[in-house]
Amino acid sequence: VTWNIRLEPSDGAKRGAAEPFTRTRGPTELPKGVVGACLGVAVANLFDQRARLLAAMAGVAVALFMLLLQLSVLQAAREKVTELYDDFDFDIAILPDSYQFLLSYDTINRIALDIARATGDVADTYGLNVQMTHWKQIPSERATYNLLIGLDPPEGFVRDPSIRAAWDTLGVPHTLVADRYSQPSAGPVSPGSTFEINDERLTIRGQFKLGLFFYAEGATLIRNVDFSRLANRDPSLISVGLVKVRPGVSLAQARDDIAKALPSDTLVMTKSELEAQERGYFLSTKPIGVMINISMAIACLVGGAIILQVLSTEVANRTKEYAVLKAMGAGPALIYGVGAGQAAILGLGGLLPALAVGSVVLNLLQRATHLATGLDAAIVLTMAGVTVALAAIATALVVRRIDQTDPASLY
Amino acid sequence: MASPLELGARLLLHDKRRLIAMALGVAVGVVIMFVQVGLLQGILDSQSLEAKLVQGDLMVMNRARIDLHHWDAVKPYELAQVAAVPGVASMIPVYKSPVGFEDPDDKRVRRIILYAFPPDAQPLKIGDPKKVAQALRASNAFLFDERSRPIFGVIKPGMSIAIDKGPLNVSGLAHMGPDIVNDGAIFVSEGAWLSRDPGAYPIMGVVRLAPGASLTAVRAAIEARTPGDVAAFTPAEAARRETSSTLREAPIGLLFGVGAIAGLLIGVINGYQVLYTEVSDHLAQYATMKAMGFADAFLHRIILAQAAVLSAAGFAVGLPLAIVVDVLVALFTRLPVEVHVMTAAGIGLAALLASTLAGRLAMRRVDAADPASLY
Repeated sequence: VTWNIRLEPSDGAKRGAAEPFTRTRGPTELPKGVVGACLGVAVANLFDQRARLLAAMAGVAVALFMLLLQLSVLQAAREKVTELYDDFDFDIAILPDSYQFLLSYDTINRIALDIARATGDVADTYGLNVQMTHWKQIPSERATYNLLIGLDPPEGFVRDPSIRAAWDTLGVPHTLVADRYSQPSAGPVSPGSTFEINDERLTIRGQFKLGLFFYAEGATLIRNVDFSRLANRDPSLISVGLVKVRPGVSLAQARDDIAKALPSDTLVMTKSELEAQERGYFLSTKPIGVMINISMAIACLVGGAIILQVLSTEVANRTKEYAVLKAMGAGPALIYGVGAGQAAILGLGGLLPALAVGSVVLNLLQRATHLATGLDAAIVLTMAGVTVALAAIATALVVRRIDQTDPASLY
Repeated sequence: MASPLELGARLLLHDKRRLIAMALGVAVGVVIMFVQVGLLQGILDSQSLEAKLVQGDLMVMNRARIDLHHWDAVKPYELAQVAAVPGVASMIPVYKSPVGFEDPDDKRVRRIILYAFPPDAQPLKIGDPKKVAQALRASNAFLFDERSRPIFGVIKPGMSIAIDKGPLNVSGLAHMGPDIVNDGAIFVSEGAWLSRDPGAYPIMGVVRLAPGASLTAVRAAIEARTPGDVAAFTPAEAARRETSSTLREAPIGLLFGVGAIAGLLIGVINGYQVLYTEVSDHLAQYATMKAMGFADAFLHRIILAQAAVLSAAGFAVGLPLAIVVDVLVALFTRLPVEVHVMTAAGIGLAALLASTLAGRLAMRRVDAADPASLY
């Protein structure tokens, strides 16, 4: 089906009758194609009252901007909560049964890694340690929280190049590699800065990027041999065991085999299960995710309502004009098309400024929080999809009213 | 002669169905402002809950505890020094620790916050003092915060729950509420906690002043007598400090602030749409009044009066809607999301502002009314 239907006068009307279709502010020729005709009428109708059009577009823009902001922050938060795990390459994680999220206070024994190896499904294992410690900035002696991350030798497990490089840097005694995205309140984390953890003087000699501001003011990497001393943790204990599965063994099979071999106070999850649990905890159990979802629903409602209101006022104000068009023999394609065209103009007129302002604000937000809130193609497409959906719903609700206009009522 | 307010009101009341629709348009903006400000306030209130529930004059804490979600404890001898300061009537130690709470159904262990204090002292307002004291004095027992998030399962008095692997009985329910960081709380007596963890240090000391003692003098004496790593705050100061540090650390201010501004703008835009249509429909009447010699200023006052009526109607419709939404949000998030009187006043004012601005924009339509066009 093509939309290339001509606007033909009905049988009774002469062709000449269609031509003097004039509007109050000068004649407008109806273009030949229906799409062109619809857009032409839509533009003319909307631009008839510029101030109102601007107000309506501004309203749609505000709603879409609000939606964009919430959507980006939610998306960035989803990525951020699994960021440390994403820096590692592994298939299966072994955790204590009290594990809820990265900062669980419980540990497992390294023996669990040996037991996992004994199943025969495992290619390699890795011990990851995390603990909240205090670090005191020298010379200010200001103490803040620090997420201390203990590493095993990186072979094959560490994806992030700056963390891989950190391993060699950490060979020098009393050395830390600090998160470049640490909060300013932790103090300067540039190479050469000194901190005290557990009364031991340490110097920063390298940086990596993490930015888990919701856990602690700062984060640092350390080798696991040093971790046990700085965090007062038995060297045989680790926070999380990471496992790489031997090629040819299915993930589910390896997970079940390892779980069967380990005592019941350990949890065994695939990487995707672990990351899903991590996201679920932060975005469903914690209220921020719920709140952002509520705000997004409000933004959609508002955007839709404004388009709907403008369209319905338009239709109400122009009942006579639509009736005239009908009497002239215009088919439903034109009538619906004008409504859809107006909705599209309003939606687009709101979307473009929302994206423009949004890209600036989100960029600033990214700099301030190190959440990856920048605009990407996926979010722009989502926003465009939402706008089209809102415009379509509003059109569907309103154009039925035009349908009911009766040319006879003009007289 | 009718006043502009009366005229404006009459014009609006002429079509009551439309008035309701108009009020709804403005109410949308009002509800958005309420919900967004409510969400932000709910987060901030929950984060500073510990300070708001303190029943005392001063909270004595480690200086390194720069917000209420830090774990820096005070040394017991420092609290003993505080207790000896003249003017201090009582000094109640409060302990706080994350512990593992085993769900009786699925046996999963989840992190919960444990508070401990002497049973009779009631440093935190968490329920009927007599019942709380009685429940805390029971042996091997704890009170469960019934406002905790539902992840812990359905907890009822009489159940036995493994807390850090050691069983304790639920002897009663308390009322506190979670925040963004923590999902729930339990309360035990100081004795029960010290018998489990003999080396535990208090997270704070709650000081009550003797009658007639001066807060500033006692506070200065506390800081003079302790060796420099102890600070004393009034509960209100601690709550304010918590609010500012929450706003500094997380981008929630921006997130919900933009939502509130969006609500305000939507109020202006909807108000303008509504008033514009209203003026357009009565253009003939306005033109007639102009022809009769009424000044533009008089006509403007009619429109501003309409704007005021609209904002009042929008607020009246929006407030109950916002309360319903807040109740639902509070139910889902277990955060204290509610309409504060000051917030309501602020949003009422914002609604009036939005409508006035909309009215000023719509006035230009009246200015364009031409008596000659009537004929």
